[in-house]
Amino acid sequence: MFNTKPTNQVRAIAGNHSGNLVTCSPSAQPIYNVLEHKAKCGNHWARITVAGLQSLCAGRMHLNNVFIKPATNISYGHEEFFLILPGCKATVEKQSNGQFRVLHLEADMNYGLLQQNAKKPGLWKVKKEGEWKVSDIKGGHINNKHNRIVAITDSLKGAPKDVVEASISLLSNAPVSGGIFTLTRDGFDMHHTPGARMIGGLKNVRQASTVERDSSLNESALLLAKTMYNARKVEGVRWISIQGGSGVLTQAMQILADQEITLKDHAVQFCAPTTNMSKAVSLAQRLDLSKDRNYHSQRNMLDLNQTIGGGLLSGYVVPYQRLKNESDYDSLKFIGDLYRGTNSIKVAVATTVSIGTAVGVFSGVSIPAMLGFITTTAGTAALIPKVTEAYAPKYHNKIKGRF
Amino acid sequence: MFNWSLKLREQAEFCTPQGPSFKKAKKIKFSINGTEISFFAPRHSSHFPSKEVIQPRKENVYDHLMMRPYKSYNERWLYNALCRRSWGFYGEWFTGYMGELSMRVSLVTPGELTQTASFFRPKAFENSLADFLQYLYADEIYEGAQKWLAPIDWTVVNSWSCPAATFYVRPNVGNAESPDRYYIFPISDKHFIEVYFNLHRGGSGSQEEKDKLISLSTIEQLSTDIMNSIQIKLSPEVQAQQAKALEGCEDTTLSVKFPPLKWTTPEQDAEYEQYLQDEIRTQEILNS
Repeated sequence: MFNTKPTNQVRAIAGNHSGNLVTCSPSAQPIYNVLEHKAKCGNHWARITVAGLQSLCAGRMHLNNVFIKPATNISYGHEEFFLILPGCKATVEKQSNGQFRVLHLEADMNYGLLQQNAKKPGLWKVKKEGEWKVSDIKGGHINNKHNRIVAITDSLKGAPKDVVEASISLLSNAPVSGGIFTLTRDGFDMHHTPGARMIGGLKNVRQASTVERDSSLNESALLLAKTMYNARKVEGVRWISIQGGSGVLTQAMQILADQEITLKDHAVQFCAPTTNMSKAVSLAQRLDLSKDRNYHSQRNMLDLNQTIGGGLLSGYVVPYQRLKNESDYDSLKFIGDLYRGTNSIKVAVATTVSIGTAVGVFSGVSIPAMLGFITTTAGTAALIPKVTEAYAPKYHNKIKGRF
Repeated sequence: MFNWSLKLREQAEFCTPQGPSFKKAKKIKFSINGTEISFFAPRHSSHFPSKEVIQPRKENVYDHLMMRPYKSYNERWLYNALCRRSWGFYGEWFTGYMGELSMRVSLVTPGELTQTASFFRPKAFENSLADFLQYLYADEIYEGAQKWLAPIDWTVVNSWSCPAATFYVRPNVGNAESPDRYYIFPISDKHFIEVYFNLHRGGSGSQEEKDKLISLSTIEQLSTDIMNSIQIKLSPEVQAQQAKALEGCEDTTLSVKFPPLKWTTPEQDAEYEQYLQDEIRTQEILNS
């Protein structure tokens, strides 16, 4: 009764030979066996889940900021926490001797079916054959074509087909997507996260600001991270998030960044993001992801979901981050972005003058006049760039290209 | 009543969504090389601004229409959408969007002529149709089982001088997509008209699960109403073409029965069998 040593029946899940020993409680063992069986049969989600449980043998530090949340207080060196994996929620106990014991497993054995029915996050293939057609992709492998587009959509309650309809105009207007022609011709892949409400935005500011740690997105982000990892050798993949999809993408990038993985040949873009942009940009930089001129596209600061969710000051922070970390990002682009950021929250006049004078002093050009090239301004101010565009296109493009 | 697109609450019970009334439908009439086609349909009122609308041109000529393949990588069948509309269906009292009926009327022709027999010959038409359905639906496989069943509820329409039929394409195992519905008839030796409907319901879940929450009846009824209003008047040239095609042909009507086509290979059938066995085994381990 008082013997706390593991009995012979308890089989080690991992850590038999090295690392911390991971065991299963008798109640969790049969469920683990089924998971293992499913994983061996080539079930994608079960493989991720089993690998997730086994990775405990390397300690939990490397998992810390992504998919673990503490369950109860620490007492006598014991510690209990949840591990949220695709199709499975595990309660794990860390014993005082450093071993881990899986106490309880809640698993959806029909996770594959739930993914198919769009009740759980999953990857979908979207193609246009007369109409938009969607079909689920098993195994989390995107199409191996060059320059494949993967849309990471917002958490919407709805059939994947409706999600496509709702996202297609944002997606086709993102510069890196190649427009509606590319999308209809080649189709694209979509990572869909079912949910009741949008990720981040005005109503979920807390979630928006700490999205890389938000536990409600763990499952989806882990699947996306695995998809991104699988696709790392495919050339020129473009990861485009739509609205709150930026949250899932941010967390997935966090998971990859923690494992020191880079995606050199891929590009990223956030369409109308509703979650913290400064975090997303710094992670994209860590993963060596390329971008268009901007990380974001179609950002509308009049939309409070984007202004508040994306971080009020991100219009200033992101340019600063880029100036510090990107070699091809010069001070003129920095000024251009600052101006855009400012202009969008409608305090344009003051900054135009101040930035203009500040820069004008050392570069010897009249910057305020040139700033008209960056954003469309109303009234006569817009006339000068437009006239230049019409009669001296070369000169116009030269100036525009600098910002 | 009160079926608006604004959503303020979740719908909990079974509901019958409402769409546009067919009573207010206006006549749509157009011709292709003299053959006149008309039907009644309500105004376009999709829930999604991105949905494409095409108003038909009054007069169309085969040679001037740009025919495009359904699939960019396979040009076996080409189409040109002549008319396109969709209608949103909404639940009661602020429960919002529930489903959508999409319609597309298109001219269809094979990319390369594999058979020389005219579409006016019933057997030739049925063969081409089998190939057409295979082209569109046979690619998708779930664990060795085909994801789509087509045609289902095959009904021959005898009202017109040309052969015509309606049928459904329904999702099979492992497919949560919405069913499609077709009304097809040939209008030349190598062209046919496809009136396509997609009976879509929103939300997640398989079609059976959706049946418990959202009724398909109103969406289906609108498609039936539109189908029933279709009028076809073949041009004299086409009638001559048809008469020539049917010379010496005894069987002049389409088959009354057209069972669902089977596209899977024996290996795929075995794979599906294996998959079912695996599922049973998983249950056994779980129960033991």
